[in-house]
Amino acid sequence: MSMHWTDEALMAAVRGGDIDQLEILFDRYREPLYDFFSRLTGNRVISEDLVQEVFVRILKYRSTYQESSRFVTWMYQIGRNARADYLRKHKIIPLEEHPFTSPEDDITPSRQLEAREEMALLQCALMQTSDSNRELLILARYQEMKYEDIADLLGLPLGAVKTRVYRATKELREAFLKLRSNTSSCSAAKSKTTLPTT
Amino acid sequence: MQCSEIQNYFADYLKEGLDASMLAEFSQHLKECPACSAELESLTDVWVKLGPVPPGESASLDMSVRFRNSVEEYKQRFNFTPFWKRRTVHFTVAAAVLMLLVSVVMVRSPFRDSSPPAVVESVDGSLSRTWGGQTDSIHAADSISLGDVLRSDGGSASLALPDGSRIEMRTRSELFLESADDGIRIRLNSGGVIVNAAKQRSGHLYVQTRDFTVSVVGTVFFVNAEETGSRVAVIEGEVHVQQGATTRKLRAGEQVSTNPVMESQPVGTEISWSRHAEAHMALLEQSAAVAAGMAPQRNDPAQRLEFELASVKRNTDNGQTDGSPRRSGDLVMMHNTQPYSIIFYAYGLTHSYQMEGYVRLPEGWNWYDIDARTPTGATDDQVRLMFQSLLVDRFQLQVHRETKEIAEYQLIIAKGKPKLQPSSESPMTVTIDGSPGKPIIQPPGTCSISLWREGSHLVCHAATIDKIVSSLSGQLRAPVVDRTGLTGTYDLNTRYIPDDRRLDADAEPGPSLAQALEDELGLKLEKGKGPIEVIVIDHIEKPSEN
Repeated sequence: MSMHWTDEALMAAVRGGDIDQLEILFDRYREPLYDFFSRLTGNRVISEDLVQEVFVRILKYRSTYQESSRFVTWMYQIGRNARADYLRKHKIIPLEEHPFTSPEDDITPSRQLEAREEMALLQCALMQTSDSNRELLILARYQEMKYEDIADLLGLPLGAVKTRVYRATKELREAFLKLRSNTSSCSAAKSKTTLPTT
Repeated sequence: MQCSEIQNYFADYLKEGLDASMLAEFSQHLKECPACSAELESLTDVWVKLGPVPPGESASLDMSVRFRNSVEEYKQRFNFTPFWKRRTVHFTVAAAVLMLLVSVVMVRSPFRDSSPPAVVESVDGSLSRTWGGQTDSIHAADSISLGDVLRSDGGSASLALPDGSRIEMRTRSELFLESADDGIRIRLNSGGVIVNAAKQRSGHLYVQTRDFTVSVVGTVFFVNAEETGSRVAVIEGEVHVQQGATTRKLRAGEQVSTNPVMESQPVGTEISWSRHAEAHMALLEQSAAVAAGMAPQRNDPAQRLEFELASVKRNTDNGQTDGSPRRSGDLVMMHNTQPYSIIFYAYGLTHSYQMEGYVRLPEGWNWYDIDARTPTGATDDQVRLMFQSLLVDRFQLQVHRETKEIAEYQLIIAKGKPKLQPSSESPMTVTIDGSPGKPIIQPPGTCSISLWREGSHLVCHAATIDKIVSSLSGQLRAPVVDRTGLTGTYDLNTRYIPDDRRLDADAEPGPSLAQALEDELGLKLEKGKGPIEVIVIDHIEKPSEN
């Protein structure tokens, strides 16, 4: 049975010069990272580019890794920076307000939405929440990060993270309910948040 | 507790839990305050429903290739040599660091230069080795070098390669190993071998007789070389058989021989000498069943394959994510994995469009550690069937197969002749025009699609048409059927602008994938509809843990 190395031990080896060990970290985190970027940007191509960029930066800045800090938090910090650079480079300002628009799509109202339709609306609602709330929800809900790690990553007190989870969920609910009652359009909002490709 | 305080506890209530005293206070408030209770219920509902929401499009398969290229590029650009390989050793390095590196070296890839090409695993009769004009007798655990001529007598023998492949030699068989451009070649002078080829990380494992060459990337097959001709039969997976200028693909249960008389002998009889004959035969039968779309289900206990022991536990360490099982002897591990991945593996799926109806389980029930033990000698295809049984038993999985008409493409030769470049022997390095100093190193036998500012590049080196078609299928996210009849191996570097970029105002000019294939390679993609078998998930539930 192969031995299981912690992320931190592997990263220490990469920092020490055994850069082949990065492949193990890549295998561990390419999917969660892709999931993170994909939910944030809604764009496959950009998400794949960003995953690539994260690992290139890990390689480039490996000497700055402190073994005392958790690898995951460090990696997501690099991921957030990579995305911020991308947004800056393409002059995209993340939406911090609800981008709700007047109804445009002719969505057939239905009292009992199928689960699949409901999921599609939630996916859309998530894209409509503000950038910072969307990021928080993705980290807490899909990346299965502990609040403590999220607090470390975002540089916020633990209590503030927990309060923001409540507010973000509320924002998501409002967006979802508006979509469900057909007072907001998914496609119009998405067009505002979809990032242009390089 | 005040209504305004609810927001302070909501996050813990959802995810990490409130301590007992806080929970009591929280519950008491909810009982007394219908407004907070309704608010909490509604928010929890959204939170729970958010769980199964998929992330959108799944990642393309070339992320790993891009990553490896980036690492290789980095190594080349900075002339990178790990410091323990440099002549000057820094003796001042702390002992702790040295300890770490020694440990890390231990878990590095088994494909290290210093590994012997093979080790004798077992000898039932005698096994002799001839090298440099001398012959000696060798035994289990002895190392074998390239060029050593091995001959088995009085019983079978088994060799293990560093990548986990196993070569079983029938009695009175003679072979030697040599290095090929992209792997190891077994030269079978006479006799028979059963090769259980581990999945090759890159390149191929070859078996060459005087009549043909068999190349594989991971499968089980049998080769017999006699005076009168050669024969190959596939037990699991698929192989390519090259005879002269013709290459033919064989799947599990199929065989080919250069002398038709040889085929009168049943494959079962031909492999009965093997220590693992029973497992091979079971696999042969199962492979035939899988190929016919009749993989054993719960209602077919006679064909059911099960792990000897299996443990299913919810993952807690969030460590390495296994998309497919890792094997070590009879142990099978799949850690920090989702039921989706287990189903994907168990049913041998290759594309996401082959599965429908999957929904995530409730929060906290989506990541598992599976540890299991197989009967000795179980093959990968058998392990897949064991995972199918495990899914039925533990996750109460119910599936059915459906044939659906979905959009697909057919790859045909465009008007005129194909313009594909036959592959060259030399290594392939591609430099992208818009990204100077970023060469792509393409391993032989592979294709990759990488995305650059100037567009996407489909790059293949010494790739069969099957490899090219598989890459196209990944890019188009639809099945692509090869109707070209091409049998060679090819090098190509084709630039195109993917459809999802063509709509952008600032997209670089350039051809679509279809246009590029037609103009540069003389191949045409024809759109149509075709039947494809999909697995439909009818039911899945939280598993019973043990």
